[in-house]
Amino acid sequence: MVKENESAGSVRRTYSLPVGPQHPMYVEAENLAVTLDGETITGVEVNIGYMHRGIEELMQRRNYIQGIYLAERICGICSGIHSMTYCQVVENLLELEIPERAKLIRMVVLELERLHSHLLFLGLVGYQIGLDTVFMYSWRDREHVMDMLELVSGNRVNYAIPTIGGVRRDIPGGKSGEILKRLALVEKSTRYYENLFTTNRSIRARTMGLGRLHRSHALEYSIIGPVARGSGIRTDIRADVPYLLYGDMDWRVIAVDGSDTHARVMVKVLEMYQSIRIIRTCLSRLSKMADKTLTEKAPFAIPVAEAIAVGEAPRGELIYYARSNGTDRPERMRIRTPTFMNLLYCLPPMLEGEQLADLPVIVSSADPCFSCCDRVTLIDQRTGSSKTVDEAWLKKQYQAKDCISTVCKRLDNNNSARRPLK
Amino acid sequence: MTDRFPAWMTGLGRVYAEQGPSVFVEVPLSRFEKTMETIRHHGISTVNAISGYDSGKDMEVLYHFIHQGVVLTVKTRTGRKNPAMPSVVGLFPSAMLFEQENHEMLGIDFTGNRNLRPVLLGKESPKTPLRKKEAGNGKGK
Repeated sequence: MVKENESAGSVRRTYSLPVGPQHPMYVEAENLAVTLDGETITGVEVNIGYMHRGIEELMQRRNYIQGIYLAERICGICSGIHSMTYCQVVENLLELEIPERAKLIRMVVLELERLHSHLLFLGLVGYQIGLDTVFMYSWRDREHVMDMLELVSGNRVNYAIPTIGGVRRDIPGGKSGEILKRLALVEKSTRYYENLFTTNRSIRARTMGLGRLHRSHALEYSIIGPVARGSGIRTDIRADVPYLLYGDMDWRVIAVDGSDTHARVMVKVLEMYQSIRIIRTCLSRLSKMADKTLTEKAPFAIPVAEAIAVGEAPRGELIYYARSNGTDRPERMRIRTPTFMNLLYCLPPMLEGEQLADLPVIVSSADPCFSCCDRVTLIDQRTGSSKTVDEAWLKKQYQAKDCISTVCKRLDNNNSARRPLK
Repeated sequence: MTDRFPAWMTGLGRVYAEQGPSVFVEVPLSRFEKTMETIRHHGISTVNAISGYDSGKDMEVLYHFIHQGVVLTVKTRTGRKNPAMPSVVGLFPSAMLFEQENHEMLGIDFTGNRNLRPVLLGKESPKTPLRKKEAGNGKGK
């Protein structure tokens, strides 16, 4: 792994650490090739593709109804926004307007999904900082949200609420009451997190000024979603291109100017208030609504047309482009997910110049849909030899007093003996 | 019909579809570069997605922009055999990944982009999986 620069009797080495494809925080696989000068990150190359399943092609082989369930399985955390944007693009192909009640129910599910995704994120950030209590608390509160989703849909992950032309289930008054009760608990917890992330010295020390993503870079590379909003860019598809009934409701786009890890965390905390506000408005309007229509009839075969639908997933802008050919199957279905837009362009500037030990929390703050260090390959650039180590090996090294120094020392010993790493 | 959208957008080429906040414009390949420069000139610095579609007769490439509440799609066509488009990375840096993706999935060459390395498919994956096997069969595979 090594490049040597000799000057004034001292020897400096740069190391290359491939981090991933497995990540201890997330279940999905990605790879970061991190170049280090001592413990300072000097370069990052992001490699994706480990999770590619050919879903666009699969959708073109299935009918429109089957496609809903496929879209829902693109992401476990954002399953609601995927299935709803899919239904929206098919409805756009048909130029079909769905009932207002269906729009409100979709919004309730989407905002509950945003709440559970943001709480999951807060827990992971707390865990990476070393505050396991934050992880426990936020995942406990996330359970309330999961219970609400179960109450609405019968499911905790894949809600199967939308269908082409509307929704499959209503939210009756009794369930609304229970949701409102649990929302009050989540709101109380959100106040606690806001106070904690604003005042706790450990959290501030581990997040403020770290992983900077300047507004100009975010604008140039089209960074989207909460990551962009953490760099002070007021962008949110719910406000920019309002869909469902977001344009009719009183809520605001959250943007924080810090451009660092702390700002990105605060965006998520503050967005939770907005989601709670939107859910309450939706439930109030649902309770007053006399029209109980949930769906409009949609044909199985769709005439030749082209359409596009956009939505704001918990991680940012989601785009579906569809083309129909007169049959019951789409001719082309194109999906552009938020992480695909963000990951390659936001991580390198965030990580370069930072310490390796801060990598997990900075990567977490970008909230990508992916996972980290289950295995690491150490490469000796002089001999060309490499060694793939497992999570247990890496943890052992990280638990040592000077984690990366220990890794470097071990490599130095290997290098001095000119033994290839195996 | 097109009053809902800025005149400069609908003046880019032939408006072939409108729907809610979305407008679809088709431009010939010969005017493509000029069109992209016009879009950049109007303050759009981001291409939000690039979609490719193999119609069986030719290759369609669609550029999606979101700007001031409008979803603008600019479509252009290139030949199916050795499809090639001018790269727009110089105008819109975020286009890099989309050009790589379309090169990988449909075999479209983006002239001027020297970094068309594979990003999603493995070595064992089928090449250009979204290209139709037989021209004009309307069914993909």
